Amino acid sequence: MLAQLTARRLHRRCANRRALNPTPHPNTKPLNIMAISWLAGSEGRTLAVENLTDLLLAQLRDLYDAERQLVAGLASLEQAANSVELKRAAREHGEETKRHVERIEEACSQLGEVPTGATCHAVRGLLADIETVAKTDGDLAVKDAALVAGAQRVEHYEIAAYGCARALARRSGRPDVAELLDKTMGEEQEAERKLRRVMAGVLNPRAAITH
Amino acid sequence: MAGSSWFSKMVGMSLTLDNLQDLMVQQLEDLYSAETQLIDALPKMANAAHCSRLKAAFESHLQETKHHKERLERCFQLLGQQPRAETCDAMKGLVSEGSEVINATGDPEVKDAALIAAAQRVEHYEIAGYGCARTFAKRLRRDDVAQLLHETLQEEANADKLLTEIGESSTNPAAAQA
Repeated sequence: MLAQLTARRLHRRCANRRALNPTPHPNTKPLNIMAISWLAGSEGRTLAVENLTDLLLAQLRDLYDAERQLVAGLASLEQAANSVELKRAAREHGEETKRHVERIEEACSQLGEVPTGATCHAVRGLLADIETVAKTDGDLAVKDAALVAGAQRVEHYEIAAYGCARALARRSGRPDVAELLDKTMGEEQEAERKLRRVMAGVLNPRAAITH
Repeated sequence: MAGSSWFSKMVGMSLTLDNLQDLMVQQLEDLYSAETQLIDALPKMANAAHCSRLKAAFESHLQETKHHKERLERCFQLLGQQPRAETCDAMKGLVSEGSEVINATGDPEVKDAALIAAAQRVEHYEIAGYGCARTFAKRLRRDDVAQLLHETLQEEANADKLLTEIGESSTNPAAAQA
């Protein structure tokens, strides 16, 4: 059992090294999820999932890139918004997002890994939509509603991803990592609720005042 | 998928942001395309699943998804609209992530956990989309449309909860042994 575990660890360490090396040894087979994750956005290679920790790291790297993109994305959202509430929500969540980036750095460092190396294509696409709305003319309230619809999709992407990562961390016996992810998860859920209130205000300003 | 998902399509069709009705219809079209793509993807995910509970969840969600598509058709009918044949690129991206997991090698239980991670991203995309569309329908006083969207939204939320439950009670404990 112990020998097996050690062999697996060694195997993984070699795989990690391969992931860093652009020209793999001819005898090595592609293995590590971190280099070839569906979340890492590498095309044309087969994903290999060997253990939960690798899957957790892939999720963390995906989220790290997503959060870093969002720091810039939320600043654009704030600029594009007309509603004062939407501007404020974007600004406040932008500040939180910087802390989310740091938490993932901390989580990865606790796992002895680095969070870089992946591109989150999903969030890139969703932010491109928000950019397109920002550049479009039209009724200011409808435009704000379209911006919120875009932001909601991003929040939900993160809620799904943090939910999975937190479950994987717990199950991998890493409550320290799970706790960090849980904090961010709570803030993402609150941001999503806030967006719903902002949407209500954007669509019906009078109702928003009375609520 | 970058730069060409739900909203870019709307601008590509030279719609403007002048009225909420246009925005709602566009959201419905985006969801219609998403559901159509899922009807193709879910049988493959069910096939790829190792855990029997996960397999059954994908299979039963496939049946629900067919109903969701019919409900959207009913919404278009109520609004006197025809759904345009366009692709929701965000869903295309999420489904292609799912395909990579389907073709993945490695431990079958860890692969199940990865399938759940991909499927929950899809569910949450739909939850966000249906939530916004329902809000717009209510604001436009189209309670008939809002009610149909509400029913689907509930089923998507339940599907997401079921995936969490299967992950926590079945697939993740098994994958932790890998």
